[in-house]
Amino acid sequence: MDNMDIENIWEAGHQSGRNIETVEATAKKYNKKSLQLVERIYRTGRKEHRIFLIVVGVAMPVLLLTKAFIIASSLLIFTGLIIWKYEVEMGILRKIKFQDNTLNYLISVKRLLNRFMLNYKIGIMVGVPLLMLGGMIIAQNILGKAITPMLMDPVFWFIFLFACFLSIGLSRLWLHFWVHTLYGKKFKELQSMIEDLETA
Amino acid sequence: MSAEFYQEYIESNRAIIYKICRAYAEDDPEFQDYFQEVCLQLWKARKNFNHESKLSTWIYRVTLNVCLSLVRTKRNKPQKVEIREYHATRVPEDEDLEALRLDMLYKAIRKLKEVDRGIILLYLESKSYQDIADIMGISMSHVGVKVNRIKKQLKNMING
Repeated sequence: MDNMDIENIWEAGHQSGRNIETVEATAKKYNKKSLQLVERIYRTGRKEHRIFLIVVGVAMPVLLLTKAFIIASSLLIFTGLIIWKYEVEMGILRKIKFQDNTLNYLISVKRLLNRFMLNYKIGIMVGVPLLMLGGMIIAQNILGKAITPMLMDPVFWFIFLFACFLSIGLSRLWLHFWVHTLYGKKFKELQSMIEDLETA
Repeated sequence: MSAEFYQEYIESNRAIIYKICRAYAEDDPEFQDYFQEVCLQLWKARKNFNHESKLSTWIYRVTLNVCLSLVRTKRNKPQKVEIREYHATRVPEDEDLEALRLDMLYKAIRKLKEVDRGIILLYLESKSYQDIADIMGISMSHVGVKVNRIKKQLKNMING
């Protein structure tokens, strides 16, 4: 190594491309941005929830007026579940506090959002077949025709399973489209910030 | 730890804390421990900051004291021998010559006596001899002598 002054090494080293100040600058750059991003996600969640409640508010009287009581009560139960889920999710999201590390904060937020998504995916996997079975029982009552003989027919089960897979697939597609439209850009930003901080 | 404290004490003085911790810690996990401990001690000691000196000077003092105390505690503990390649904390790849030199300087600083490390770090951070004397609790004339001696020592280590 050349005969260099330690002052120069210190100065130049801390100004060079990937030194601790650069890491710090990256972290600093994202401190505020990360908080703003999470706030935006939170606000979008709130807007989405309000829109859902408005839609339910409009749909419910229509269903009651047309005497579609079974659908109306299902919608009521579903709305209750969504309200409960929204409160829980937003409560957890609010609990993540920016403590001493931007990267850790963003990773925690990302993990939480992935967990929410997983909950919805599991919900679809379990909920759709249950809903279809429930629908059949309701249909049986409405039509006044027992479905028991149909249960013995393998073709029935084939159609049922096919319908289940199709419904799950369509629901997953809808979920993907919905999340991508509302949160896609924010998720991308979140991921890019994490990658930037990890490689800094 | 509140966000206000973090912003005022840690974020604005992060570079100082990083540099000192890096000069005292042997490896990355140790660096993380040192950094966390410094943050914790700053949090605990925040009420003792009486605004007589600059905040950065107080941070230097606390950080140095915490690092010195950690080094001493570590020295008194039985050492584990571990074969591990050391990758300096957040140090760039080898192709970055300036960062490589800085890495060597840090390694050389780590070989100094604990108090000497503090003195040279403050000197390199362009602190005045008076500030160094205040922080380290030694006389100003002693600082001058010490700095010259340490610089010579470091140059010998770096230039082989």
